[in-house]
Amino acid sequence: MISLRNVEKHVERAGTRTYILSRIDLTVGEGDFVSVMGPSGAGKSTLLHIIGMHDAGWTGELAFLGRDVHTLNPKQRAELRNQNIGFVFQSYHLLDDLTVYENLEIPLSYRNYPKHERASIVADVLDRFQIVGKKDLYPSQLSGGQQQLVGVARAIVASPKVILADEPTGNLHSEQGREIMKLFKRLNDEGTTIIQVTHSEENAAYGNRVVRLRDGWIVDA
Amino acid sequence: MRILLDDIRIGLRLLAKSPLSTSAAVLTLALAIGANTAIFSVVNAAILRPLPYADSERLVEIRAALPSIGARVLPMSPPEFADVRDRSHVFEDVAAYGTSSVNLTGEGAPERVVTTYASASLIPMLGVRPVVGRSFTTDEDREGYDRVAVLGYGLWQRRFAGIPGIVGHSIHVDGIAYTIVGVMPADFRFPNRDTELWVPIAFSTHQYSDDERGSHWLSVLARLGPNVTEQQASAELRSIANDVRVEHPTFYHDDSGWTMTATGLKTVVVGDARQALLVLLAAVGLILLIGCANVANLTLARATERSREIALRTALGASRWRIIRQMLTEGVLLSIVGGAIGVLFAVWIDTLLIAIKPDRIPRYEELDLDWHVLAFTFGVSLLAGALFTLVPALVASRSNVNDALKDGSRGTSEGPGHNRFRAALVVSEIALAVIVLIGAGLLIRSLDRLLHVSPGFDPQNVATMRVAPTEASYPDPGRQRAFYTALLEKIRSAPGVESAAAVNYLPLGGSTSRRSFAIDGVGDAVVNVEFRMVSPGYFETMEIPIREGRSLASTDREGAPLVVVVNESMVRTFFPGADPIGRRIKLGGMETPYPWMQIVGVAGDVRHRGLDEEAPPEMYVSYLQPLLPDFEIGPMFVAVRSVGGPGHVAGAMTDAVHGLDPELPVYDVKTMEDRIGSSVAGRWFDMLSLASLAAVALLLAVVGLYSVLAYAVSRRVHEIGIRMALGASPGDILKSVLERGALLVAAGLAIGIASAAALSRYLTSLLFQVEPTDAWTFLGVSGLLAAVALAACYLPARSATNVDPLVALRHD
Repeated sequence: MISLRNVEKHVERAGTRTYILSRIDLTVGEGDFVSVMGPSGAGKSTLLHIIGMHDAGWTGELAFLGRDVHTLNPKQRAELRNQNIGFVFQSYHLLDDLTVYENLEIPLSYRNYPKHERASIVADVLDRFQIVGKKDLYPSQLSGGQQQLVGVARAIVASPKVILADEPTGNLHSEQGREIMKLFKRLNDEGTTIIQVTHSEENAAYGNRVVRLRDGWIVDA
Repeated sequence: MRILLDDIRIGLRLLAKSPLSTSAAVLTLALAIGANTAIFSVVNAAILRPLPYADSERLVEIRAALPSIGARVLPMSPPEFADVRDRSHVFEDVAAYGTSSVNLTGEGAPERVVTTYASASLIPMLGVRPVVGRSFTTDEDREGYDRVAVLGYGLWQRRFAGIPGIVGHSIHVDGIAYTIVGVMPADFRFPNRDTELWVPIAFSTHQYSDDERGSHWLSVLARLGPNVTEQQASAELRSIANDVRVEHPTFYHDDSGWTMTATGLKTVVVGDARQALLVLLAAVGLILLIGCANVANLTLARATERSREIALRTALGASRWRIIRQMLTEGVLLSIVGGAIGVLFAVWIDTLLIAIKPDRIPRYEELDLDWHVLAFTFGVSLLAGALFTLVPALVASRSNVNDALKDGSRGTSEGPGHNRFRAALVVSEIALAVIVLIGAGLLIRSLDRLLHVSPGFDPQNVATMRVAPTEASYPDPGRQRAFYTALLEKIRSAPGVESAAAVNYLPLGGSTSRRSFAIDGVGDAVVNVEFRMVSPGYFETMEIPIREGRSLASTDREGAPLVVVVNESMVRTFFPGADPIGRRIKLGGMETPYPWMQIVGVAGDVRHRGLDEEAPPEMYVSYLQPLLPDFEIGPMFVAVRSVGGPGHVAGAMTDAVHGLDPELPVYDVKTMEDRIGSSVAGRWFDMLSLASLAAVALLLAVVGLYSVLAYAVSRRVHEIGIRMALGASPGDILKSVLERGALLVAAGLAIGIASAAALSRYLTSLLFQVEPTDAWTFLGVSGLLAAVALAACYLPARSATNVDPLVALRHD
């Protein structure tokens, strides 16, 4: 489903080339639940954003659902991303000025879903995540766990094939974190491919595969 | 005091810490305060400052009015002046004066000098003493004893090199010797800035006779008695006018409404410039508000950046008032620095104005930054400082210390209140700019309308000059006629000349002559229509169409039946629905010795007084037909239509005059197109002034809009990053920023248009054939502002699309 071949990324610092990722070869199959682990600065988030097609400054080959991402222009990449990927962030990144309902609606509006269809999908997701009662609240009126719940709901609202999660429980206490991981597990069981970046072995245990990075190299896959 | 000094010290340090935003604020304030200072200095010199005469508030001009022909201000005749002088009790003194130009010969080259003929009491009434010698006495203000003159300072310096023993020297005024008795101070300008010579008016017995009652050419100045008001004086003048009307029914129709009033001299001097200057003052006031709104935005942004610092200060014990005071001190410091630079800017504007000598500004020579102006600037600076700091200071001082310190660790945050305040500021700026722009738009449209008004003749390729054969060299009208005839023949024979003609008062020439007349079969005379003497070929040279009958021909000369051409306005007014051709009219009343003249033609209307004034009733007679044996011709304009442009014949015209009389000065040499240009110069000045201010207003408002949006985008980088991560395309982001800008612009436009619709009626007196709520102007201004404003929105919108979601999200 996702295949990275000899992917590298570097930055120039004070005339010196520093590699953030080196010779990354990785394949993720459909239905996988992959946890990317490693110390800080290992390149985990960078790898996630390369797969998520947010990052364009890399070399190598990336195939996503049979399409060669490295040959696509930015517009084609955005199209591919919007159709297939949902993101969950450590800091939730809900839009402060929008209600829960509106936050869930945003990805659909960017994908040009008609209004009535958006309403139906959002209602369905609210129901599925049991947050109907919170649909008119603003993010600041929710707890961290609730905010991340909305964050995950927002990630899946457009029915992506893949969810990329960057330390999704990093800002949550353990009980809230467990709830979110259970949710991921359930989504994975329903067929969604998940790649998460995490420091937590407990969280990684919810997945079926761990990829370890160190200094930009895959040390264990 | 020590705390204030501390505040100032810290304020200066903080301002120096952000040189870019400090410079932007100072420049904005300098522009806004400078514009206010400059315009206020003009208003101060022209309107507020007393006239430079003793007890000037007691000086009034006595003006006649003739409502029946729509003349609100009419000069007076010598007998009318005598009526006022002899019958009134409310005036301490009354003086008559009239201005014309004379040929000055004798020492040095002949030159034309603007001269005021005045009663002996005029200069003492103004309370100005000559710097050398004396002014003339009552004894000298009598026919036969009046050959004395007072020089202007400039004339003394120019023509006589400022020699100290000038008193007793002779000058030749129109060929007649006058003895110089004094020199006026350099800053003495009465009745206008061009006058350089004062001589006694010395009315003759004939001039005081009722025969001259219809000869309106005088201005009358009076000094109110102690504790007498203008209203009381006007009441007495109306009463005198009623008596005079009853006593002289031949000259004043019962229904003519002829009356007299007293008007403060300052009101007369300021004239219609008052309205224009007040409009400009209002415009710069609006610009100041726009500038303050811009700086308030900057201040709010700085307050946001400083929220952590302010929270720390509060946590360390600073009271809310202390925080507000610190910020107010910084604001006032900024505005005082801006004000100081603004004063320099105003000095530059004033210097420029004095250099370009705008006739539109009364008393522009007196422009300076006196203590009134500086106090105004200081006051405006303090007000501006308080205005743009107060709300940001109140908002910043109210922030929650806990939140600010917590947020401070991640950067800064601001609530929806800040955004609403910013939005309100920028909406106000746009609304204010719309008001100024619509004002300028209305003036531009008025001027455009005016420039498309036909003057009633074709000004292209017409050169004009004025010559004045003196009474001394040309003592009888016959010689004057012979001179003009010879001159025109000489000019017509010059290469490039298509035709040439003469007229005593040229259209847009700045002066005119009115005469009363009677219609045969109608009876009593009707007072005051425009009266012109022209040479044959005048209508052809000026290309004034003859609508009916014929033009004046060279056969209409002495001995031939007396003929007259009238204009369409005269026909409409006095011969409505009748054929005027063949009817007879005469100057003066039925009883005057003037002969009857037969109307032989009707000429098209000519806008003599200005493109914005309808043509008055007018009659033309040939200078070849003397109406009385001693009927004076006086100075005449010569108009020459050329083939290759007016520049080619100007030399030939002057040569022709000097070929006939080397002593005769040629003056007022201009093309007709220049005269039209001069006649609309005041409107050009009004329009350019307001348009310049509108440009400044637009610039400041657009900068304000841009900075608010740019700031909003900079604050939204994180949010935009999330949106992009969630699938927003660059187009979506562009649209969202543009939409926000468009919303602000639309709100500003709506408020601005509504306000302008309510305020623009104050411009009515400055408009010409344009309604104050002219839809095209409102639409045009809205379109222009919307286009410029949206272009300003595009830049931050565009930069928003360049947000890298990866970088934005890395803020985690």
